[in-house]
Amino acid sequence: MASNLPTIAAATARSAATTTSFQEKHHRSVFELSPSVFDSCYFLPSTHSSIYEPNDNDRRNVGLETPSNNVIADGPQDTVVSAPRWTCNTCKAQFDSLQDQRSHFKSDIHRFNVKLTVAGKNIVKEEDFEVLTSEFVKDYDVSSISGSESDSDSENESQNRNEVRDKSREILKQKLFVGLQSGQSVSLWKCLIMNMSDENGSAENEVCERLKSLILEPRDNSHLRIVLLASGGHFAGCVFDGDAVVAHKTFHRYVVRAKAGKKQSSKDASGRAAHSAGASLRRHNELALKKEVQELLTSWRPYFDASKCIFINAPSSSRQLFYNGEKSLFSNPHCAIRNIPFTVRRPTFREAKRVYSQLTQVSFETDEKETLQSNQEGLISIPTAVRNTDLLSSEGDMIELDNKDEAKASSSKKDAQPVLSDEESENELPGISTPLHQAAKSGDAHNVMELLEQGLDPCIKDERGRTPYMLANEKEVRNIFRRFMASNPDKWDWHAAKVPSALTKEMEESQAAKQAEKEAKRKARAKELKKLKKAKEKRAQAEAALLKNDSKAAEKQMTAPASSKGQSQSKSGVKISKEEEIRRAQAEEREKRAAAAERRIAALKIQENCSTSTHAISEPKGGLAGEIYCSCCNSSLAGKVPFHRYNYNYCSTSCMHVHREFLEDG
Amino acid sequence: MATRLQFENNCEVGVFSKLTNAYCLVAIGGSENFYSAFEAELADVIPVVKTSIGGTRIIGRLCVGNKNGLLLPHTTTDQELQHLRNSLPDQVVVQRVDERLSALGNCIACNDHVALAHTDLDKETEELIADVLGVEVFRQTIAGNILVGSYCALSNRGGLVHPHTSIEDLDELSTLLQVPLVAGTVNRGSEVIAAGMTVNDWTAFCGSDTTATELSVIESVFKLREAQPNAIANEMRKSLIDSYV
Repeated sequence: MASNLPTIAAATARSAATTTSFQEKHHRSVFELSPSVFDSCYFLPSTHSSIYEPNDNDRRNVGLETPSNNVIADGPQDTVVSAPRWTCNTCKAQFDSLQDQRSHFKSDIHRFNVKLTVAGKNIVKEEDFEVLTSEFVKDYDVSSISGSESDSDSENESQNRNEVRDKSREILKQKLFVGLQSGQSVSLWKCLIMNMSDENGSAENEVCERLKSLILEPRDNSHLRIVLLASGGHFAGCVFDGDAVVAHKTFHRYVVRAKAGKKQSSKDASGRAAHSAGASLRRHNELALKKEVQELLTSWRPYFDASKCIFINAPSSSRQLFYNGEKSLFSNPHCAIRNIPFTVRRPTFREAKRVYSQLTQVSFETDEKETLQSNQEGLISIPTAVRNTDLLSSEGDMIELDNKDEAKASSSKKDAQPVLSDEESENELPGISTPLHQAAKSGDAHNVMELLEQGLDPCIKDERGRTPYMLANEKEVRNIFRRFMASNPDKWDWHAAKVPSALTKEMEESQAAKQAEKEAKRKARAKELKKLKKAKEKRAQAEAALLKNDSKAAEKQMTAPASSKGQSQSKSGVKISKEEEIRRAQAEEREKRAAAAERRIAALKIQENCSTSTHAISEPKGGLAGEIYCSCCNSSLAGKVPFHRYNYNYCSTSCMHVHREFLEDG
Repeated sequence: MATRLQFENNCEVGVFSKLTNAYCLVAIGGSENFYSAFEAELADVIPVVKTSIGGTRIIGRLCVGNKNGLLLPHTTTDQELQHLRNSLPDQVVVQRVDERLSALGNCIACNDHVALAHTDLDKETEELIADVLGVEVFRQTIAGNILVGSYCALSNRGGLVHPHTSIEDLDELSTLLQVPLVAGTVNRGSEVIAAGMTVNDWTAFCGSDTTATELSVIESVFKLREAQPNAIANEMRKSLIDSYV
């Protein structure tokens, strides 16, 4: 075990040495640069080949994204790997001997990695682990720390690590890439020299001037930069002159509700104010913190007046710590207030210094340098960000332009087309939206055709992995793609562009023919339908007329049923069955009625005859109770068989009995 | 050979017993049957001691030991400690450990030379393990489980680990521990290996649910058949027949 220690120590020392040298080489404070660095510099589009590489801990984050490669590369490649391989699958490491492996399995980093793996997180590498542990030791027990929060902070940090991945692209937008005269290219934070608002509008020359003036600034406390950080009851303020700290102050007050999170004031604002001792403590502390900060800022007034720029990081309600004073503190017109474009940890003096060194640091982009040197055609760089094959025509123009014009012109031209990224960056990054995407999305078929003819790549995917074809929601636009595919089947990988099939002239013609045929069919069908409709209407009218005639005929039939009978029958023979039925029913009814009428008439006639014949013999009473009428109830006995008693006729036996009693009572 | 047995109708015999090359601990209060099964197998060779740990019978999960020593959790009473010191051979060091994780048997897996330990164990505990048990301690997981003591059974001749252990991990572990390892199960598919069986260099006790296949795997990986008298004859016959043909 003891024999292993020196080797590990040596290894870590070596890695430490490499990291420091790396740092020296690639990161430098902007104030350390020689005054002439930015002479005749030009701006590069923010190429994505250079990933965000800030120093120390942030680089650790980047390292996390590609966990395995380096360690394996560090491993012994020349050793003949025999049957037993000494590995650590958790840490993705290989070892020379069993001894090494065993000592690794006893080491802290292995233990740490195992814990990380079990927790479902990414492992860390050895050199990063060094940094991490040293930081844990150094950073987490200094200036204005309440020990209670160390846990939550480390959690935040691990979250931040994940966020970094998502943010790395945004960060690229926040950076400014500058090509130097020496052929190198550097990147620095935009917010160091530019406001967010004038980022687009400001001319290149102006920015260049600002860069130069930044370096040439006199260091006599007349061009100060101030970093103000505030969050969760912590405040850190630091005044810098160049790289030197002029003044600094940190405060910490207990304002955040432990475990529950959030400040007491925001909890109170939610409606239910707590009345615990802790709550009132926190309320008081919030006020006290605010007062302290305000007092400090007022006392720093001279610094503010002399400052060029103030960097602020105060999430949500912490911001009012700075702004709520009676008099405006940041009234200096020459002083710009800018946000810090990256993650800031708990406000401490150390963190303020780290933030400032980050902001003022200039990173030398290695990839860029190499590519530039490789195609150095008289320093006027052919934009590496332009895909050579794609843009034959337009790039040709550009090169000519370059040759004629200044480099700046070319770079501005490049800025105009920032979307054309090189192949590597395309592989590395999820993608970017191109004009072709926009044209396809907007349904501008003409524009799409033009762009395709210009040679824009339809395979490029946007941020959400969609090709221009997928964005096209109009048929015509999609057809443009397919037509272009038909005419240039080999130019692009149309499969990658998600264009399903080519659309040739013949296909289109056949499609048109098909369409026409369909149209004709449809028309014919419509005509037929119309005809049918008309016929139906006609028939309906005819029926209505017939019905009228029928009703008239029925009336006639009532008067002369016999004569109309034959007529109606002959007519009904013409009708369709249903109507015939109705008709028949009607006819039957009519016949019945007619029969009834005949019977009535006949009965009347009989009655007349009877009355005349019986008139002579009838008594005064009997007139009433005639043969045809019931002698008791006086109802007609027509069609009935009457009951007889003496001379009287009755409709029923009961009537007879009633009448008998009536007669006997007399 | 491996023996199948039960503890009060429970197949998790590894929970109620601790078997090493120098001694065997058996839970007190169970049926005499359980105890006598161990007695029958081991009595001539090593002491079989009935004990409880911290008043419980789950002694196999609470303590960890090998031929060099025995580590007991902080829950162990003084009487129990004294009883064990009296009962075990003199060369076995019995030590109580002040460790937050009291189920040492679940957190540590060891044979007479190496030990796998839970990642959250204290540094002091790790040192104690190394000193008392005379082993090299490695922090590792088995198939992503940090309870290494539960998911593997180790002897000096072989080891059985959690069935989900990947081949790479198996290779790595067996080079690290310098014993052949096999991924397998006990008790008709239970992946909690150490709970279902207890093993030393020449014998093993498995839960009565253990299938014949599982038993044969166990016997072959822990090389329990070779411990039999006829093993040499078998070996010789093989070579003889080989040369004969």
